[in-house]
Amino acid sequence: MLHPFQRSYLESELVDIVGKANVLTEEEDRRIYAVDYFWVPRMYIDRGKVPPIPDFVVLPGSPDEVSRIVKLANIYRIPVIPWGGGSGSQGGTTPVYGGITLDLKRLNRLIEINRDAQTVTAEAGINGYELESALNRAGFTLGHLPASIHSATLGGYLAARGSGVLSTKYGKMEDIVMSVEVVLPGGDLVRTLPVPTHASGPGILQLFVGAEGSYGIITEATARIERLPEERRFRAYLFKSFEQGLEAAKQIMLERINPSVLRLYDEPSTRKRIKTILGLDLKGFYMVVGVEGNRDIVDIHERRAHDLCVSHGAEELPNEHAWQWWNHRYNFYYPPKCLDFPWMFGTMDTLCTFDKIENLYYTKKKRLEERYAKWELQYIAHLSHWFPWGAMIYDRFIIEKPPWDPREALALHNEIWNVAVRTSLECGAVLNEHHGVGLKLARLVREQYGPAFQVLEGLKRGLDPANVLNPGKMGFGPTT
Amino acid sequence: MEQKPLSEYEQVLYGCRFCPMCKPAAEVGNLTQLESHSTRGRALLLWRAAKDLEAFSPRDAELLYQSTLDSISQAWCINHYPVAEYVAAARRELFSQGLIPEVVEDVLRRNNRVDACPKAETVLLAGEISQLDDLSAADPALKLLEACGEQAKAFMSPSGSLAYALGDIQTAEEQARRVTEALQKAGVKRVVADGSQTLFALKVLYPLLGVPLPDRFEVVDLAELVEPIAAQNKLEAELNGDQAVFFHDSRSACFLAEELATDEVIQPARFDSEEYSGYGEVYARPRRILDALGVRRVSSVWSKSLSRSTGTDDGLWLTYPELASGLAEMRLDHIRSLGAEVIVTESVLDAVHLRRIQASGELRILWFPEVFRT
Repeated sequence: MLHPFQRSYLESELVDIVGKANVLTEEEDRRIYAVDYFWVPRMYIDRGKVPPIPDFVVLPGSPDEVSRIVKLANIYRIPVIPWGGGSGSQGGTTPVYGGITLDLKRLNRLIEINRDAQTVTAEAGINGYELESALNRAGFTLGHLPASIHSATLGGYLAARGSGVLSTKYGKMEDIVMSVEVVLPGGDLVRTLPVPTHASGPGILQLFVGAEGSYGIITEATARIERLPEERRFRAYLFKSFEQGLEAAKQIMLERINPSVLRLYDEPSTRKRIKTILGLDLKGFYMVVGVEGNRDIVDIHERRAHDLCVSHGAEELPNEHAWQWWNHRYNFYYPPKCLDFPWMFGTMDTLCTFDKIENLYYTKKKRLEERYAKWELQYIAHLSHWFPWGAMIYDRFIIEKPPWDPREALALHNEIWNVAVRTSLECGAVLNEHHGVGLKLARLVREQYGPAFQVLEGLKRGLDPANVLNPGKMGFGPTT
Repeated sequence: MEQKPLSEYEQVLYGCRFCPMCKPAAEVGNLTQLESHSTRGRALLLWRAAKDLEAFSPRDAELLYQSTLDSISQAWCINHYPVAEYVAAARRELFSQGLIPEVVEDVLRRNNRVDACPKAETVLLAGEISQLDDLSAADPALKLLEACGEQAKAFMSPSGSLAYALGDIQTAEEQARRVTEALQKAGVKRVVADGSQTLFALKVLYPLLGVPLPDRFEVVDLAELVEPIAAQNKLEAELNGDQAVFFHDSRSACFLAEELATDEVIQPARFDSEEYSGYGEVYARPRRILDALGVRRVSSVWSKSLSRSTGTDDGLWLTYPELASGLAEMRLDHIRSLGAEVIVTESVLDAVHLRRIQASGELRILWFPEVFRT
């Protein structure tokens, strides 16, 4: 806690760096930064409580200003929490220990679309939709189309190691990014190597991707871009069993068919979510397959993917059932049909190799539904990011009538997450696939890594001895 | 459009309070980048107020006025949650509690008048022009009306739409009543609105306030009057057919739209099309006229019901001119990026404001009546 005298001093120094209009001190402005898409602070607000709010919100206008703020934070030993679009679901921006929330959205310039190199360079605070629209206008795509595109920023994409609906073809953000400019915890502004890959020792770039600001604040990034596809096609199928759908998708991946979309919904998701959002009344396991790129290649890939689906027992649905998903895929996230309060819910996305998927799905489903039968927990899932040797399972829990008392609700929420993540780990999967760690899973990171966590911890100690950057996240402690 | 107390919007505020999906459509939020200027930020604040969790503070009041009525977020939202209605409801509460910022109070005071209506069968109700306080601004419209065979006079008076947008419902009602009385007294038969803000007042606001204009008045906008004349090739354009023209709609037009944007508009790939941005004669008619004149139009998704404000809408340019200037600069930047050389707008306020803000003079900016050689 800052003494009011110290607070005034710090405020005047922050104003000196970014100007008065960019230092927010009024509670009415600061409290909105207490809440992003993380369920817990939203629940607090829903129950009329106030979650932790930052002492200051500062909006820097240049990497140099970010650097000066970070240096100042080290002097005052005050946390700095980077903020992008406010769409994170893991509590990566929750100001657990107060401090300075650094809203990076003023750093929103698109610096260059390099047609020759086929890369884009932009500042970290650029909005995802704006970036993608600008690329589309120039004939390109980032290939990263997450549900959060309308809110999230480029920096946020990277901070959480995010992925979008076309990740099966174009990769996750850690694949798409080529280099980043970062303000280190001591305030130095550095740039990682400007090449697709190298053998100059371990990759420094990937230390910052997914670190949620713990190792540095990303201020700019260069990413590879793709030409807009000449042809984009979708087909929809209905499988009789989850296993058949899984096997068809696995074969598509192992044959290196390279689909843009491969999205298999389990039976409850097909019955409930697909019906609610897309209005399709289907019984079975709905799957969308997308292929895009050069027309001739698309022809071949589409035909082979179709043959594999049909040979695994799929019934092909009318083509509009596939386009309906594509054209309305963001509708899943708009109220009143998105997952929202008063429900308790969470997305537990995880990843494992093909041989473990079925066991993971059934074990977690059974365990959660049985253990929380009293709360009528529902478990639903779809698989939407596929890799040649594995797949991401986007599984969710929903409790429609959770406890009203915030402490009780928080306890239940955290307990469910503990069980869910431990089940994933036990089944050979990981803590998370594309939302990050944040505050939500911080307590479980050490369990996942075991002694290997000392690698991450050692880096943190070396780079940020006072722990000013985003304390309390990624399994790291408070500012000292 | 409805007029309900803020508490009755609790359910929609419940949905909006954590929802970030309309961020690309934020106006002031995209200028200042403050989360408290986003629709989500305001909805969270209003949800707490609607639930009686806390009283409005002076800063809350500022945040609620440092925007337009935010109808663009309503248009963007796939379910068209009534954002403009709940912002208006909140402003009415702030007004009734005496909590409106001083700058707003000052603007309301200056615009709390109804001027005399000249005797004529056709008048141009210069509601928007009254904000400029310059009767000569009506000249292009009067000349165009004359070219269309209408001997009209300008009736420069606030229409009530500004008072409504700023939460002063009593003044809005009184202005609606007094404008109606003045029109009746002057023997007017046809009322031509000087822009969508005025047309909104006459067609939507007056009935909403319980003082609808009697049926014997014919209410039209300029484009409606011009279209049949233009179709007979009786009007010539001031524009060179090679110039790329962008048609800018004011935010008020969305209150007259038949359909707001469709949910497909939120796909990033829609950037250069206005196909999904809304529908209605208020949008279609002026475009048809320009097309018939052989004008080469360029388009953007940020058109029609998704038209981004130039800052003049809902009185923002009078209350927070710095924010309004910032919005105008953003709008100009966007229009320039489309390769446009000329902006044509149905709002005289937008035309005047954009001309004032544009430092370079690179873009030619015309109010719709100025398109025609009269």
